[in-house]
Amino acid sequence: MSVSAVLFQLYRPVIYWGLAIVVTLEIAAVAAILTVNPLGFSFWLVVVGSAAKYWPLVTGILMISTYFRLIVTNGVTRHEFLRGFAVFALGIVVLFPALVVIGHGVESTVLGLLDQRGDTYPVFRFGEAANEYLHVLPATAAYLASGMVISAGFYRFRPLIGLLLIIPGSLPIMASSGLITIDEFGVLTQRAPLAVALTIVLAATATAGIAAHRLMRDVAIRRTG
Amino acid sequence: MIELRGVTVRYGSTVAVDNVDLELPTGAIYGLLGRNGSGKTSLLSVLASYRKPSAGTVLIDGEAAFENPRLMRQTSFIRDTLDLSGSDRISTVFAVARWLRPGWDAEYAGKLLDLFELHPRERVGGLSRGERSMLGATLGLAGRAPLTILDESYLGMDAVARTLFYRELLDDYLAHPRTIVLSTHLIEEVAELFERVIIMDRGRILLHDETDALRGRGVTVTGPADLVTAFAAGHTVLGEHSLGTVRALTLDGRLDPDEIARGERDGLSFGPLGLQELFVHLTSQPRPLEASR
Repeated sequence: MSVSAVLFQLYRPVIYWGLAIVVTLEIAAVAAILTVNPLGFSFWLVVVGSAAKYWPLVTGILMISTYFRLIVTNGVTRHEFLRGFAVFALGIVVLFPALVVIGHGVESTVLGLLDQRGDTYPVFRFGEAANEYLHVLPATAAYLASGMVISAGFYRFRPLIGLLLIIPGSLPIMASSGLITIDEFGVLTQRAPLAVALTIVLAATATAGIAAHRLMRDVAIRRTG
Repeated sequence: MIELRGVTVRYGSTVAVDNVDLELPTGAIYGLLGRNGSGKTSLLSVLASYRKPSAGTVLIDGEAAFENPRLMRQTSFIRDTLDLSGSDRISTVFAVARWLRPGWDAEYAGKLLDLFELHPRERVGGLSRGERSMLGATLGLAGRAPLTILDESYLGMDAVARTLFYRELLDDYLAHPRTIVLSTHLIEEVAELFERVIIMDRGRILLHDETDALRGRGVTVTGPADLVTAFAAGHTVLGEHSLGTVRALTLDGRLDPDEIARGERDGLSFGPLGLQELFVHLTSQPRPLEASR
């Protein structure tokens, strides 16, 4: 079985549980809010929009701190692991933002049918879907890459050096947060032309990915306990 | 053939493995012996490509081992600490091995779990020290890797579990011959398993020989101090004890039967030196072996 398939198999329970939790939370919280007022913001964009950043961050950290050792000690080279993780990460970066946009679309449609959209609710429009997707994707990629490279710093070096490497490791996050964002009101913010902002964030993300590869390609498999 | 050429492992200014050259024919059970801090685990880590040597190279069948996908697939290194997450269930650990290890024998793994009285639903973090070792032994044996390395994998096992482990190791080795390197401190207990023994001391290979050759290698000579001293002339002395006028010397090397007969006629007594005693004598000396000649 390929490394990316193994990672998916190992992560599948996390994905299913995570999805079940956010969907349950969405239904329960929105239903509760609607008993008082129509919804003035997108709860889905609040919860899953944030998850599209922080869940990849945690995934990047876990992949290095936990799964790297587990996979490599089962007869896989470091390079094979990193390549498999790149495929797995690509799946997250492509699919998670899509989940944000699709969920927003479903939420907006259901609220519209129930006539429960508040004045400030960000109504979903099919024509804006691609633009919304492109405003989520850079953050997902950036947080994942930052999580990976920061974790790689701690894995390879002493804690103090790992701590110092958090600053350069956070550059993709800083680039995405500073240049291209989406908030709970569906406001799309870009502080540079979209193509430029995307290029800068993805370049920072790719640099972090390359840095993580350099850190991990010949690292010693550490003992625990 | 497994070859280590000029392998050195450094941690900062500390040299854990010092320019080691070693050739290990495949298809044998090796015992790697050494005191704490002698460099055994560092050497094994390099052998398993868990660590890139600071200098030198490891070749397996002529190919460089580090980051070699084919050779990584054929190597299993089980450390005493286990490279597993405490939150994982044994069933998950086995699933990963099944997905990634080409030689994984799920049926045999299940049999070993039963033998060691472990349950697949148990989490690794909830296992006792001995149970973790049993899990490690199971992973090492059921993986059927052509190069299986077990680093102090008996730690915490009780006498019954250790006996079961040794029996399974031997049975499985006979059924599926491969290269097994076993690092241990329980030398006498495991000595019967070893076909060859490697002794490390202070990062260097002190000795590498067939176990049978080593068993008869050392002799203890006991008797009146002056006679013992005279008899030992020309031999390498590994250790000595004196009590009053009686002296006991441990000599390195195989003695000639005529030499022993002559000594016995003079009133000296001779005793064999076990592998563990030989190991203790070789590694407890303040000076290198050659210096005692």
